[in-house]
Order: sequence, then structure tokens, then C-alpha cells
Amino acid sequence: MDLKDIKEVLTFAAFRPEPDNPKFAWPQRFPKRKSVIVNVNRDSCNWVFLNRKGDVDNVGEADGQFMDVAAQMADQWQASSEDGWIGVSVNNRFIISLEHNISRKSGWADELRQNPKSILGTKYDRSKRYAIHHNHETSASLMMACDDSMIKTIEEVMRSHNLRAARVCSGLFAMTANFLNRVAADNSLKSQDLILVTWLEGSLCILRQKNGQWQDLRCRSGLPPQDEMTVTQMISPFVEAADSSTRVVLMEDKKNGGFSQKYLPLFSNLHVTDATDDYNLWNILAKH
Amino acid sequence: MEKVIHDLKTERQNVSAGLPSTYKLVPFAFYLVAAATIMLTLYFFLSKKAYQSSEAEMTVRLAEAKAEQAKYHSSRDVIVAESQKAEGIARWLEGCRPLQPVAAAIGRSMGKDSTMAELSLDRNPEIPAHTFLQLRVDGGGSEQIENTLNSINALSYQTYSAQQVKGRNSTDFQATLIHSNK
Repeated sequence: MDLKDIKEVLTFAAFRPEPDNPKFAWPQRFPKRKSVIVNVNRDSCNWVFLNRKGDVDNVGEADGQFMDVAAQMADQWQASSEDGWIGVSVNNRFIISLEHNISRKSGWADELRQNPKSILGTKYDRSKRYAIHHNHETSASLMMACDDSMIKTIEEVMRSHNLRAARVCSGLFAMTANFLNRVAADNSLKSQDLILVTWLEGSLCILRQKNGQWQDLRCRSGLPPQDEMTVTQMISPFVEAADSSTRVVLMEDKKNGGFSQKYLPLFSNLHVTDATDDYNLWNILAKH
Repeated sequence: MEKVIHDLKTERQNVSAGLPSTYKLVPFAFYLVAAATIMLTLYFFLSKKAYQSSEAEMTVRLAEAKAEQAKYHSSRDVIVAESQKAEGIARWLEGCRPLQPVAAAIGRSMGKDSTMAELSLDRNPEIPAHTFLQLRVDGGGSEQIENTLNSINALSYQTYSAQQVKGRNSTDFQATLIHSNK
């Protein structure tokens, strides 16, 4: 037993999970600690400095690839985090799809990280990394597949700047899963005919839920700002299938984000409810 | 519902979930013992300080008491010396008591058939109040000795250690005379 081990026991640090333990929520990994979360977009990065209470302290953004932004910001990120542990949200080169009858055997989340093929079967592609969110009342699941090479690149860049990835996730998928949990917990919303829209810095996920059933889903990640046509093409099938009782519920990464400013008119006469909170993405990533 | 956000990073082996919460008793016990140690050390330190201060006060009081005792002893010594002087005077007074009345009373107590062959009155130099009487009476026998003793008693003398030895015609008597202040 080293002196370091004794010190960790006496400071109660030994009773906390390690910062990169995926089984624990962010506040459990960094209790009363400052931390940094970076969202990696296609051509830009934005980040948040969280204070010791886990609240947003300061945010920033910069244009450029993650490699370039990390080179400029690494020192500041390291200074504002514990031992260089940083949370990363990838917002590019992933896809969310609607699947059915995916295995939900005990310990599926661990199994998905360690041996995804045993969970996904023929759907498994070795060049991808996966995350799943199940509908607890039906056999439907959302499956997110992200490029393995991109995650390895991000980890490599971080290592080269003495940073360590405490968590790498898809911010849009985390927002969508959180959004669906909120809908599932709200009895008045759960039974309605809903179009659930989540938007994060050029990535869009639209899900149709009717009577608690997930019926259709479309997702694109890393859309360039000028690519309005793609967004229109994604939204129009949902609008055409909607009736007067259909409600649109929107969740963006932040209040009055890019989607509500540009694309709300695409829903024509449908009733749109904005469920976005201030610092929505950061709050979700910092609390779960 | 999964409340923990998914994680896509490359898995690291042997990632710790932290020690079980029940083991928190160990550092808690450590801090408790440390706090108790500090408290007890403080308590014993203050107790020692109080004891030292009390001991100093008691030392002063003991010195004062010893000084007072010495004063009483010297006063007692003065009184004892005075008492010894007084006893000496008393002994001197006892030693000054005249023996002539005793000799006269013994002589007068002799009957017509008796003669005083020998009379000796010796004062004990150690105890002047004791006078050693030796008397030889010719004739008269025990009756005469009794009359003589009555005469001596009439002068407030008591006889102690009396011995009487009868001869053919004489009687030897010896005793210690002590004057009683009645």
C-alpha cells in the first residue's frame, strides 16, 4: 500500500469512482470538482467550464477542427479540469436509427461496450461504436452508431496534449435519450401524437411517437449551415403525415438555437412546444 | 430508464468504481480517533497545568504551615523550659520542707517503756519529696511503732514501702515518707 492510497482513503477520494468509469453519472465522477466538457462539431468546437457545483461557469467556442482547437485550448482546459480529465461530445459522423428487438439481456450496457456483436448481431459493424436507448414499453430502441476512427483520433489528439477522455458520447443522442425519458415520465405527453425534434449545432434527429410507440426516425449529423435543403427533406415527411392533433416538441442545445431561428416555419400550422432550457446540452451532460 | 449517459471511449482495464461506502468508517474512525487524541491531549495538558499550579500553591501552603509549626514548636519549647524551671522550683520547695517536726514527733511518740535507739531521716537527692526513715526502737514493740506512725501521719506524711523487723528487745522500722498536701 502506497502513501498515495492512504491519502486517497483519508480524503475519501478512494470512495469515488474513477473519472473514466462509464457506469457512473458525471456528478458522481467529479463531486465538488471543476470539470470541462467539449462538444466537437464538424468544423468547430464549443466547450463549457463547470464549477464545483456542476453548474455552467463559462462557455466558449472556436472554429476549426478539434485537433487545431485542442492545440490552442489544451492548457486552459487542463487548468479548469481535474488532472486533465475532460468530457467530449462528438457531433459529427454518427447516425441514429430506429431498431426493434435488440437484445436487452442483463448487463447489456457493459456488453455493448465490450462485445457489441453479442448485442447487435448482424447489425454490428466493426468500424463503429454503439450506444442504445430502449423504449421500456415496446420492443423499439434507438441505436446510435459512431465512427470508431473518429473517436480514436479524438483520444489520440487529447493524449498528445496531456488530456484524458473521461467520457466520449454523442451529445445529440444524449439529448434525445434524455428528451424521451422526460416524455416517458410525463403521462400527459406520453399518450399524445408527437414529433420530437432534437437539434445540436448542425445535427438533427426527428422522431415520431404516437401512443407511446416510436414510429419513424430520421437523423443526420454534421450538416453544414447552408444545407437547408437536407433539413427540409428530413422534416417534410413528418409534417405530411401529421394531423391536427400532432404536436411538435423541440429540444435544442441552447435557448433560441439555430434550429428555432431558421426551420420552425417548416412545421407550418403544427403546434410547436420548445422544451429547451438554458445551456440545455451542458446541463444534460453535466447532470447525467 | 438509463440516467447515465452512454460512453463511447476506448475502455481502460481495471477501472475502479471506488471502495464500498461502508469502508468510509475507516477514515471516519481515523478522524474520530485523531480528534479524540487532540481533545484528550488538550485535556491532559490543561489538567497538568492545573495540577502544577495547584502543586505550587500547595507547596507555598506547606511552607507556610511548616513555618507556623516551627513557630508553635519554639513556643512549646519556651513553655516546656518554663515548666521545667517551675518543676525545679517545686522540687526545691519540697526539698526545703523541714524535717525537725518529724524528728520531734517521733521523739514525743516514745512511751515510757520505749527508747529510740536510732533515728535516721535521709532525703533522696533525686526526689527531694521522698524521705527515707530508719528507726530502731528498744522496747514497746509493734505498738510503739504504730504510735510513732500515727504521730508521723498527724504531720500529713504517708509511709510507703514500710518494713518492720523485730529483734529480741528492739524493733527496726524503715519506710519512705511522702508529705501529702491535704
